[in-house]
Amino acid sequence: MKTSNSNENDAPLRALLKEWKPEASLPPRFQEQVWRRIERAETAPVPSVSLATVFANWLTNLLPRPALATAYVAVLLVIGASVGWSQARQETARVTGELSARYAQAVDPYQTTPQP
Amino acid sequence: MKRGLLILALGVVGAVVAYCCFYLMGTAKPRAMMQSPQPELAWLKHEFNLGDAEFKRISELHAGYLPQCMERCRRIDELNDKLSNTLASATQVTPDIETLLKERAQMRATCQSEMLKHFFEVSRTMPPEQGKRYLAWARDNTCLREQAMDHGADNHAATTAPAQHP
Repeated sequence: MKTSNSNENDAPLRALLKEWKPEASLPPRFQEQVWRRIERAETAPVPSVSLATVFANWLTNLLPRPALATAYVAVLLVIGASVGWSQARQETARVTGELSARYAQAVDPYQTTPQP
Repeated sequence: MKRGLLILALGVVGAVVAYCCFYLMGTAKPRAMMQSPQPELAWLKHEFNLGDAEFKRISELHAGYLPQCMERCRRIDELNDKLSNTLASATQVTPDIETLLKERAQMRATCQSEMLKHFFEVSRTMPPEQGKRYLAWARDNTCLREQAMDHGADNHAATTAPAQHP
């Protein structure tokens, strides 16, 4: 129902539009200029974002977010603790091995001292 | 920006502090052992979970054993020198050389026997389980475990069975 009504109302408008002819003309060499602009846009270098800019952006906008800041600090704490513990274990093993060899050398003169 | 920098620095400082804390905690025992008057005995105490009384007794045994061990080493050195001098002018195996070889072998056997006695004495001073572990360590890490006889790759290739000497 609504469609037929609107068609009836649109009829004068359609007639008017059929009669209308645009008077304005395109500027000279319009098409050529359009293609030239497209070509220029395609060949223009993409503005590069430097690493420093990305880092500054991350520092200013992302890092201060509470969740990210907490995660960042927690991850660095865990990394520091893990590396510290791992190196401590290596050092402990080294010292233990060295002292074990020293004891063996003390009680057993047949031991050959390992060359460094 | 300022807040971001602060958080960045906080993370780095936190990581360094965590590293130092865990490293220092983890190396507390070995540092203490190295700073003790006799680090190798401190290792023994730590490795075999010795109490103070056991450690004191073992330190005494160790102190008593070392001078005797050194004296035997001195006598073996003397025999080595004598043997070297005799061999320098010898063209065949003389009775002197045979005697020196026997004496040196005897002294080495005595040395190893005394060493083994010391190991048994030390192990008896420890709690039984630790004593067993100590003896196992001594078997694996001292001259009591002889190296396998080896004449080198060329001789292995030339013979069908591995060469063995008593």
